[in-house]
Amino acid sequence: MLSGLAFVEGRGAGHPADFRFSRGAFRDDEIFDSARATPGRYIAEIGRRLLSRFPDAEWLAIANPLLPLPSGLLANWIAAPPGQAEIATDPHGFPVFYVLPRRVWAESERFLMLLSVQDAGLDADLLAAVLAEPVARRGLPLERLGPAPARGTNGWLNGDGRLIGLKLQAELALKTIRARPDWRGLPFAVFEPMHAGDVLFMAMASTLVTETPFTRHIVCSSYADIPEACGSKMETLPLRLPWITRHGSASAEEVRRIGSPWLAADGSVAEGVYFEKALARLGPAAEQNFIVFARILRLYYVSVFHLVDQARFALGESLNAFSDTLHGRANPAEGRCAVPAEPLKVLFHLNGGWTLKTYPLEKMRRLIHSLRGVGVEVSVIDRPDLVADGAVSVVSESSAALRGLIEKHHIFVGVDSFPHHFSRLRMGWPTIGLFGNTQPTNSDAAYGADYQTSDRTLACNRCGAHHHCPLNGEPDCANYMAPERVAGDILAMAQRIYGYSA
Amino acid sequence: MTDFDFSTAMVRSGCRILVVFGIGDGSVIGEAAEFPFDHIYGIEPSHHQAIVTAFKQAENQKITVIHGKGARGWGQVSPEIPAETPVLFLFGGATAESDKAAVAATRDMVRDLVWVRD
Repeated sequence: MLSGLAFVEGRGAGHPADFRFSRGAFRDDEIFDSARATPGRYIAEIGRRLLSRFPDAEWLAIANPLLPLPSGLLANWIAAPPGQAEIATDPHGFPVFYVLPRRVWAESERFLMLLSVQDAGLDADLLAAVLAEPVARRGLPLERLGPAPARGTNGWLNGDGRLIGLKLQAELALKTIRARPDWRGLPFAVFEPMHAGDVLFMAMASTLVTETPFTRHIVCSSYADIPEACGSKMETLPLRLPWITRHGSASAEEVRRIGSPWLAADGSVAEGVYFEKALARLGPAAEQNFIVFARILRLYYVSVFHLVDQARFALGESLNAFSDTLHGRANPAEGRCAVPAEPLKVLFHLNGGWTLKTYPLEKMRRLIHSLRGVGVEVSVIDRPDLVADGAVSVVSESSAALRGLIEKHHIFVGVDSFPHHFSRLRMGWPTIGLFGNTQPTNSDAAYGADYQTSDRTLACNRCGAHHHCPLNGEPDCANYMAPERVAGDILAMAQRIYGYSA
Repeated sequence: MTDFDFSTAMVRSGCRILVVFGIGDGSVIGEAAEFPFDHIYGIEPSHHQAIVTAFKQAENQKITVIHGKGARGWGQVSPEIPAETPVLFLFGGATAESDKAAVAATRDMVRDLVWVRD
């Protein structure tokens, strides 16, 4: 639940508005669900909606998006606009709601994305610096609300303390404003440095947004070639720091043996810790930009929306209709292989970012056997173990190399990983997406004659597991489609696109 | 302390860049950071070791830790080092020979100094 009140001069009490995180219907009371957007971005969006409904509003009161507060509750706490900006708090300074003048949206909306939404003192100082006027704090008669739990009732994640990233961004922004007279003209940089697929989604989002304050994208140096290869409209700021794994960087035994103040017991690195180190690593560049933390802040797969669209919302686009979304429009890119379709050449990428994302070995062997049996040439990225089965193992060490490989093949078939998204979203290549324990709607593409996904649509998708199936303990995901069906899909697509017949 | 005489190596060979394959617990890099290298690169196949050392050295802009191994790790470093600039390479462990071969495949190492640890 998201809520706010709009105050129109001379009309007394605030006009209420309650919103929900959209599940895809795009009703008037729904706001797009993005795992990449900060709570402050939601404050900005709620304000846009309030001003759209009440164009004469002079003041807006907006509930902290971390909290599921209905507008009726807000109305009990604020009967009339206070005459100055303020933040209402719990007894420990946790922000409950923000009261802001409408001019914020006309002049400074982008700075709302930098709010900590956890420290009213910090946020009041930041807003006062941006507005150049005092921002009051008012305690409410409440029990303590903060700190944010592992997963709040409004869906925000903090299991590894990642919301500390929001405080860090707010602190850095305030420091920058105080240190630099030219602060209002500084660029906004989005912090989404990893992994390859996520960098691609953000880069592709930058090509689709119509208005955004972001002109820079902070990317781990090992992925720094991706934005340009995707035609990103943002400048890349390389982060010379290794990326972190999604599922821990060390075993529990290693952590016990070697230890580190930065590693959790399961070997994972907290996102907030990584952000803190990244800011240190960026050095002076950190204070030459307003950096917005855009790592996963909600479960991205609870949202039904594509990750490119989730990134677009984070960059500032409202996305109020299905036709605005990636699924609601045709893919602008369309690439085709210039080589004659006889013999048909198919390029596979089978290894995802975790064990259950990898297409099962036995299924792949049967798939290769089926295709080779009808004369299809099979190449597989980085799988020398499949050479004995009749595949050619190829190496792709950069986006440029990947593009070159794809262009030599008629059809690309890949799991839910960067090469798949690059092939389809960037190159518009005939592509089949293999999905196991991730759900297609978050990372597929608009369907058409030259794009489809393939999975068994088992009810357990999406399970959220990484290494072992929660149902049977196996390292393979049973949701991957049978190889015979995948082979049939490949041949059918080859016939549709290239007129090929086996 | 390690057994490496960085000071002598820098004077004799003119090496101002150090590339360490296999940084382990990061102690060699930490020690090398006390010397006036222009830049130190650490290439480490263990993500755990790489991230721990990278975090320790996050504020030192003269140190870059790469998570990777062999040719792929070197591939991220080599574009930043001019061919004519002498480099002190430190190889070690079971992959020393293959790591060295990966470097030699893309670089004329005639000006470089190579140390191999047991």
